[in-house]
Parts: sequence; structure tokens; C-alpha cells
Amino acid sequence: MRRLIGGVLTAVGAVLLLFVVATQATAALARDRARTAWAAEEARLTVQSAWSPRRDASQSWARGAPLGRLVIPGIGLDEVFVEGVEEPQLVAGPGHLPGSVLPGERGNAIVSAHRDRHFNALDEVAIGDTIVTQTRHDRVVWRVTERRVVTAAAPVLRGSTEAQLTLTTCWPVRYLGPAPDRLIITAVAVSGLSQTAMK
Amino acid sequence: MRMTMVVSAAALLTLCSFEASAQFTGVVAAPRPKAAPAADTTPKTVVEARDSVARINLTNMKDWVDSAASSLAVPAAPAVRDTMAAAAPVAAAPTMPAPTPAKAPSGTTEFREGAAAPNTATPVPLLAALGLASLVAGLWLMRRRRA
Repeated sequence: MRRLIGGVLTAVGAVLLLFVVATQATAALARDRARTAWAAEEARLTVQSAWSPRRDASQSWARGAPLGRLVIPGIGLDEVFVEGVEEPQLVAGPGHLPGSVLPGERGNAIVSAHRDRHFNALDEVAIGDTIVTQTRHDRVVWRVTERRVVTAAAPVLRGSTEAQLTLTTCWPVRYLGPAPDRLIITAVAVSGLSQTAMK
Repeated sequence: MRMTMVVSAAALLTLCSFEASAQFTGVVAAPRPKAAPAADTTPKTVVEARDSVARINLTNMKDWVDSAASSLAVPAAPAVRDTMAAAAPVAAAPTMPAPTPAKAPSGTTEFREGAAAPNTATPVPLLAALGLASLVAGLWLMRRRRA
């Protein structure tokens, strides 16, 4: 009987671990695809930079499309963020919340990611830290001005009249099970704002 | 040698004739002379009798102009206030049913003022811990059995 139970537990454990490994492998592949797509997009934009029209504010991007790079030197984060915050997008990289502006434009640009993947060190970001975003048209340097923890249902997403960057992830970062809270990092632009954002 | 050439030429002509037979066997018929148009034997008086439109007498020119204008159906801005609004409501034409909003997935997936942060919760760490614990426990049980 003990042997039977042991066998069942071993099998269940192996299946769960295989699932986790497969999930991580899928995420790694999706991340590589996003990076490759962004590299190709950067190359294309380099050629077109002389005449490429600016992004229309009403333009929407396909889910999963790479939109830019997010760099936080303080925690060694350098990721390509994609459009969308649902699971298929969040496995590939941090997700830009559709409907919010892109980093560098006037308004609140919101980027979210899983705490166990791309934002696994976001809790180490401190006020005053530097964040750099690179999109199709803007390279913006941000400074973290606010760091707070709210409940999952708290209405924290707000528009802004100024260029603002909001990063969100689950809290606590190291937690077994669905984390009950959210970590909200807010940053303001220091330099590199687009002309439309400065109007 | 000459015989071979003759035979070959005959064979070629025979074979080619199947392809080209239509070109040589067709008979080009001479065009038929067009039949002379029938003489118009209708008396002129009959034609004139059938054309009676010109003989209508317009007794009410204003009504005729109004009917002609309405038949043109040229939309124009109403010069007077639309009084149909106060009339009985007309049954709406059958139209496509209004699209029901898609069921919103759990969590915020698009920016809305005052919305909660996107749902980034993931069960992967929990599954990993459970899987590891289950695997270790199972191996431990099986090992004790052997001992």
C-alpha cells in the first residue's frame, strides 16, 4: 500500500514538475520570439526613421506584438514588452495594458508582468531608481517616484495629464499561490519625451 | 534512301493531317447576301394615329409639375418642420440584434479609469512546490518500502 501511494505521489509530482518545466520552456520560447521580433522591428525602424510617421494615439496593436524595451538597470532587468496583459502575452514578456498610452506619450503607460518571471525582482526597485524605455519612436528615462502595495481589487489605474509610467506585478513577490495584492511602481519622465508628450 | 525519305514524308503528312485537317477540309461558305430590308409598307397615317402622346391635353399644369418633381425623388432639406415625430411610432424595421458585449475575462485587460491592476497572479510557483513535495514524498515512501 505504501508503495502504491509512493508511486502515485511520485507520478503526480513528476507530472506537476513537467508542467512547470513546460510552462517555463514555452515562456522562454515566447520571450525569444518577442526579442527577435523586436530586433527585426528595430532594424526596420532604423531604415524608416527618417520618414516614419509618428504613432497615432488611437492606434492599437495586435496582442503579442512587441512594442519596446524596458530596462531597469538597478535590478538587471532588460525585457521586450509586448501588447496585452493576458496569459499568452505575459509568458512572452511584460505586457503593455491595451488602451493605455505607450511610454513616452502623454498619459499613463501601464506595463505588467508576472512576479515569478520578468518582474521577479521588481520588489527591489526603490524610489529614485532609473527606468529606461525604448519604443518605436521614443527613448525615455524615468525616475521612480512612488512604490506602493494595494489589494488586487483596488482601483489604482488612473489616467494622467503628464507622461507617467506604471509597473505592476503581484505581491508578495515570493508567495505560494495566487498573490492577493499588487505592487505598483510609478515613475515620471526625466528625459527623452516625445514632442507630443511635452505639448 | 529516296524511298525512305518519301515514306517519311508521307508518314509526316499523314500524321500532320490529323492536326490540320480542320484547316483544309473546312469549306468557306460564301456569305449569304443579306436579305433586303422589307419595305415599309405601313401607311404613314397609321403611325401617326398610334402616336397619341402628343395629343394629351394637360389641364392641370401645377399637378403635373408636382408629380414630376416627386418622381425625381431628389432628397432635399425639409423646408418645414417634420411633423412625423409627433405621429404614432412606426414599427422599427427588423434589424440585426444588438451585439451583446463579450464576457469580460477576469482581471483588467484594457485600460479603464479607476480599474484594478491587471491580474498577474500565477499558480506556477505553487504547482512547482506541490510537484516537488509530492515527488519527494513519493520517493521517500517507495524507498522506505524497499528498506
